[in-house]
Amino acid sequence: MNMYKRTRYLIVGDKGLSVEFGNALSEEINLRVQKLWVSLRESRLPGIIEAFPTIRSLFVYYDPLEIGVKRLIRELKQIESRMGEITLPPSRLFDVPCLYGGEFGPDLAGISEILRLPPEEIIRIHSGREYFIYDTGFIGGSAHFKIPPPLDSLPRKKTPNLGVPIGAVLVAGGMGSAFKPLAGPTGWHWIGTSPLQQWFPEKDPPLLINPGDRIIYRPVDREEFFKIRKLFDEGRYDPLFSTRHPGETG
Amino acid sequence: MLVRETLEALFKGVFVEVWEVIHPGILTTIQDRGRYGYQQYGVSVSGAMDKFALRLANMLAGNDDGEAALEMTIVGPKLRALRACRIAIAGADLSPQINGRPLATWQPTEMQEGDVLSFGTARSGCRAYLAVYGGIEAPLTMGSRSTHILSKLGGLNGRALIKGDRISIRNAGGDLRRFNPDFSLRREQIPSYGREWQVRVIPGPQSDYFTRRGIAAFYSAEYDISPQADRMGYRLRGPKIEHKAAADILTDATPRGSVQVPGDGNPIILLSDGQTTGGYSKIGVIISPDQDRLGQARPGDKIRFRRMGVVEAQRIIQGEEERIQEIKRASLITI
Repeated sequence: MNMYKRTRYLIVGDKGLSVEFGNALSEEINLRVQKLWVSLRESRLPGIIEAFPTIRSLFVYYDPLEIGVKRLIRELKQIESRMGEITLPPSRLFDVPCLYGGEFGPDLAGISEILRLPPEEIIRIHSGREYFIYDTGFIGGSAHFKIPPPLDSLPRKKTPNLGVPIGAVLVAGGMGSAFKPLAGPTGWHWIGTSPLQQWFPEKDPPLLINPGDRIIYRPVDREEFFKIRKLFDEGRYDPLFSTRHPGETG
Repeated sequence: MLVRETLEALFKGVFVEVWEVIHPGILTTIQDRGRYGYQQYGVSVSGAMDKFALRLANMLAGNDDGEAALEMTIVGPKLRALRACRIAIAGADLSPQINGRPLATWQPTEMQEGDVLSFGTARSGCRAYLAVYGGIEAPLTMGSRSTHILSKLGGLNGRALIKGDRISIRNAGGDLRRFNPDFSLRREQIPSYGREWQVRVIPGPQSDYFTRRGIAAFYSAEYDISPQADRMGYRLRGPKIEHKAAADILTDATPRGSVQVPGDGNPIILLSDGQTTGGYSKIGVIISPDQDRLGQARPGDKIRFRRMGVVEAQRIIQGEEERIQEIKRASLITI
């Protein structure tokens, strides 16, 4: 699973440091990232402006007027050596309805040709299995996960899709994006649309799905899609399926 | 109406409308020093492209340096004063005028009710900051008033100014009575902007993704800022930067100033509105003071990169901050 023997402390400019645990899409690596994130928060180390987890590293943004880079690395190594004791918050499992193909997933047909698999087979592979969310980044907090073969062989699109709506279910470069938080362009393949929404700027936290959560896609038809969308928009649809504490297995 | 009456209204804690937008300019947005603490949710930091100019404009207007101001790009807006106010413009010289009479930048001025502030040709730089005593009012969204248009956050409903908008000020807690009326900046404290930029870069975090030739090209060649240059970032044109093998990485953080290089070898500098994470390898990150200077660069300008260590960069930040604090002290009357 490609965890480094020695954690890398990478300089990212004069206010950023990346603590990199490995170079792979691995749940174990990502959980270490999250543990360091929680440990750093609890340490109340002065000079930290914010820190956030990405797939395999914790990004630490700091104020060099308060803490220099050398001391920061020293302190972080200390925190890293103690972080075994941290328990992460429970992981939530979400049921994510998805209307695949057609105008709701115009790239499904193209993918079907590239992979020489019928669309139904692609839907079967993509749905019905649990995905672990590694990070919520980019713009508006896209929730990213690792997709299984043969979908993981798809590169990004040569020509980006320009007007992709909120809720678009995307895959590219070995990753999936749960459902697009904001409308806009994307270089990823658009295979379906979920009636759920990810981005609620007026709420705290502003995202439905967060790192460490899990999702399962469930294929739905047009009728169910619109029914769920209406209920969700009215705040009457709860996609939370279950909550699992660390250590428990599914 | 007198500035004093405006101030009295402010001290009572009411928001006061100061300007009506007659013409919005090309891209005029409300910006402060940025939105921190929400990158974990994919929320860009945004904030002024040139925070040095933002801070100075605020100090000149009598504010705390982090107040929200208008960031105006190349072609400034036309604003009618709805009441007297104290303003200062810093950053680019976009030929400001009050009622058609030229107005100096980097110094405070008063506008009277009915005065019209307009702008002409962009003489130097790209972005000017218009600060008003009392600070510009906009709802505090995730701890900041900065506008991020892509996610429709902050400012006026997350968008640029449009004709007919009314801009309000708030009582920002500053105290004009402490403001030194004889304060002015010394000539050497005011930056000048050319069309060629020397930019200092801290190598990493993925400098090991590039060939020696690629790295040598980056630190020796001259790059042009392409027309694809906005608050998100600047695409550059010039000698291609060669990767050893892969150009893409497992997505990680892309802070302001990151120089990322996609597979086509053309570098992209990420700036204030940049996304929080990205999947291209980063050859280096521009030092913070030079990120601000680049806020004044325009498409067609030339850039050269010079390597710098992080410890030296942090010393430079400290020096700049001391200079800003010195200006701040000079702007206030010691009690």
